[in-house]
Amino acid sequence: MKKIELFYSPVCPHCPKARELLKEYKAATPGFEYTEVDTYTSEGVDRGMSINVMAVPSFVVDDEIKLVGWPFTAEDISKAIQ
Amino acid sequence: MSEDIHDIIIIGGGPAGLTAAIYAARHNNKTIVLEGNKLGGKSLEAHWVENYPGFPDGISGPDLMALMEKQASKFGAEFSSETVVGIADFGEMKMLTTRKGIRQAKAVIIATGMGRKSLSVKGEDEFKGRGVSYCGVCDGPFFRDKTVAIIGGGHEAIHDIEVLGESASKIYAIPGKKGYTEEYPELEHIKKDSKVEFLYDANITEIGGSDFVEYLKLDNGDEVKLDGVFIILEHVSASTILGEAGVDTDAGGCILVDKDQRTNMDGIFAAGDCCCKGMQIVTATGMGAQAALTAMKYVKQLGRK
Repeated sequence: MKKIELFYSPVCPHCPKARELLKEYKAATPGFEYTEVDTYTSEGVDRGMSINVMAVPSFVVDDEIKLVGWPFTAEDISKAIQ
Repeated sequence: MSEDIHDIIIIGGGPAGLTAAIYAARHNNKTIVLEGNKLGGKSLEAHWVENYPGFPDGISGPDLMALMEKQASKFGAEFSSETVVGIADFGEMKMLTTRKGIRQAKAVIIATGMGRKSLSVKGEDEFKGRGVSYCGVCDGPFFRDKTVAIIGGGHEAIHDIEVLGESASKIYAIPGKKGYTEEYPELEHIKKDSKVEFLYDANITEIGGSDFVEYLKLDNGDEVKLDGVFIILEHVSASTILGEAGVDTDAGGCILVDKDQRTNMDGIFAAGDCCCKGMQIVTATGMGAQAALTAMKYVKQLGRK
């Protein structure tokens, strides 16, 4: 099962839309493990830096950064997961 | 949507827009706030606000904005996620074109704030998210113990130098050849920070690297080795549509208003950072309140005709 992570920050103005899209996508498309990583915590920053995340929102599939910044679409997510 | 005439339409949902909505709606004006992004504006990026009156222990920017939204909603203000793409003045009626359709109002308050713009140099697009960032408070934590540059001469750039000072090991402050736009009081403190080096009289010509940002080049021939470039250049949001509508601005795109927040156009008012005054949440709310008071008076006078 693929491991999906969305790196977000509570102070990032675009992150709420990215989180909402991922939530909708997850509800409509089961079959992957999804985690939201809060980069306003030291654990979240450590996790991000360990795989070279440098911006939020970042969409990561199995430790590989696939999408950075906003906007992206459900189609972009599907392509990134494949 | 077009038959739904509002007394006051507020473009922008930051502190100025939300305060204008509180005042206008509380006085029973049919009021709507149009905001293309998330309500709260740039204040959402403020991790902790310690100088807003009434909060002696401070409050986070997002929490403060949520309270303002709640207060405006309580008085009946409406909200819609819409981006305005045009404003037309038909005298006593203003028509706004948005990405969702047409809206009409007797008065309009512009509170669009300041947006970010790109540097437009070689390598900027290529390294977006790989060392090039436009938000220090959002992405700064990833540059812990790294070397970064903060590009920009406005207050936001100064703020981001302070923000990055908490994580980065070395900061190059590059305001551009025009220097800093004001003698910001924070600069005195920043100049004493040994990790901050100011590079004046130079513009960026290129950002480069292999997988991630590794250097930037200046037009004086210097090359600076670093890990991140924060581009913090501000401009008045929606300045194009304002110009087309006939709203007077200065050379920098800042909306010109009188002491009561009137623009040069009857029934169109402006408040907040888009007027390039204060650049603080508290000054934005003050302007928002004044704009609403003046707009309400204007709407009332229309009703008497």
